[in-house]
Amino acid sequence: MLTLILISLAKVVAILLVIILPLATLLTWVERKQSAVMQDRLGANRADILGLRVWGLFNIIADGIKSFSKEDWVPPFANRFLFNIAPFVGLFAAMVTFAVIPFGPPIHIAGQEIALQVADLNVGFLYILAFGSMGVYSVVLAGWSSNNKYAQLGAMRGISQMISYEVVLGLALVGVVLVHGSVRLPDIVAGQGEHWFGWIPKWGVFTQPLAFLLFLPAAIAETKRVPFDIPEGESEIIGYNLEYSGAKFALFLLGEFIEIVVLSALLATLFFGGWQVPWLADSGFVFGNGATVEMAPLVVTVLRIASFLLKVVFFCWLQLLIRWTLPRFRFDHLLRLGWREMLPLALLNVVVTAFVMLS
Amino acid sequence: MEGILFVLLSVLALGGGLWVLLRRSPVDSALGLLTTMVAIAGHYMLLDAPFLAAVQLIVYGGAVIILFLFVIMLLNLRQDRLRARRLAAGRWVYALAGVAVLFCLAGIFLAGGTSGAVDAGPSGTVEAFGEALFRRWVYPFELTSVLLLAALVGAVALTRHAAPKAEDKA
Repeated sequence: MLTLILISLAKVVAILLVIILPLATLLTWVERKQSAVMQDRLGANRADILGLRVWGLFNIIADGIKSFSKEDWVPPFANRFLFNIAPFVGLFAAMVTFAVIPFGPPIHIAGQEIALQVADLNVGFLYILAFGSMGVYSVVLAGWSSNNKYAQLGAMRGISQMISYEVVLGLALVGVVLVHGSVRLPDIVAGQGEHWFGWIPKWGVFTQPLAFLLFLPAAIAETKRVPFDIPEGESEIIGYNLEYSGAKFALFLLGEFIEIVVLSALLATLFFGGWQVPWLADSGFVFGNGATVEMAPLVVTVLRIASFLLKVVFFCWLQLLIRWTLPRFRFDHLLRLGWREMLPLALLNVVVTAFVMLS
Repeated sequence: MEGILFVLLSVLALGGGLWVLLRRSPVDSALGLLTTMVAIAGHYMLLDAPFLAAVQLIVYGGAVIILFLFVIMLLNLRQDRLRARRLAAGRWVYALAGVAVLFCLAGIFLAGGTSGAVDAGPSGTVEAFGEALFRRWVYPFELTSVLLLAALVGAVALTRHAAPKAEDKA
């Protein structure tokens, strides 16, 4: 019992300190730098320590110190309690989603099999949906407790947007679940380790292309970033976090970046084979023409974890690319896209997949 | 361990219920209801029914109470504008209804507790739940969905604006 708890704790700490927090904090810098490159600017490069600049990487530290030393202002007439917990709700909902994502194959230490996943829940993908939908409360509570018309408008936009796209998100995932016949994420990843004709990996993006095309925008809508940043819309209503300042505002930002990382991990797990490397079996590479490359188990494990991390980093980059490329939706366009175009397609995908799986 | 969790979750669930009744601000009440719902999801986990727990969070936490909050914010119900309303005439009706519900609950418990409840199988996993729902209880399940569909169609029919006439469109 005690060792089990210790192992779980170690996994939580490892995920937080190795994957989520470094990637999320690094992303605050990457976002500024990548947008600068895309707009032909230099980007953040001024922060230096003893004349050392390392491409502006110290801006991360400067940003942190700045936001935490600013005045933490709570507006009068605000509901203090809700106002204070709102940013943490968002952060919590984003972080706990990571608990069911397998970031590597099971490893064997001292005769014990340790799954590289914090919690192998029987309800895998439902857990993701459950805590994904908890994230709405951060927006609602922030907007309502601020006692500000614009913040409240932002919160209402947030509710209608996130509720609408959650439906599409869930239905897109149903297709994936149907293909693999399981809602457990380790099963879904294991199923993606097979190949067609020995060459084409059975990744979710190939078995469920429509689900992928629906999942990606719906999930970006859940992160509330451009082109789906209507709850914030800083050029129109400034948004649900309008009254926040200092550290709590920074927490909203951090929560957003953590959502990017979690979404990338989800995309990698559900549609791009998770920790699977194409043609890499437990014994080493096995190619479609029969050629094999023997490899030590340790090397295979390391390769697989590295492949997962690489996919996560790739999707973080892709999301930033999308964020700095597309303009914001108009609100009625956004709702029409969700309900009239994506929802019927998602339903169609479920029906067609079910028929194919039956036949 | 489980005992402590049970007590903690029960206190949260009952406290949330009391909060709903005692607070005057509608948003506070909705959040109290949320506390109760989340605590009940925790109870489902303790009862080894992870599927029910997840669905409880998705449906009640993620959808129903969010929509309550949406409506409260849409109508802009704030506590300073809500007058304390006296339940003058209907007071006794409400009290009687409450007592009747208590009697029914007591009757159920005295008549053998929850032995008549649906047994989802050895454990409340997704597989066991699906088996029970789509094999043994498939007709009640389908009938329930027809009922929900009827409610849905009714809601749409009630809230729909009258279709604009042809000459109005010009």
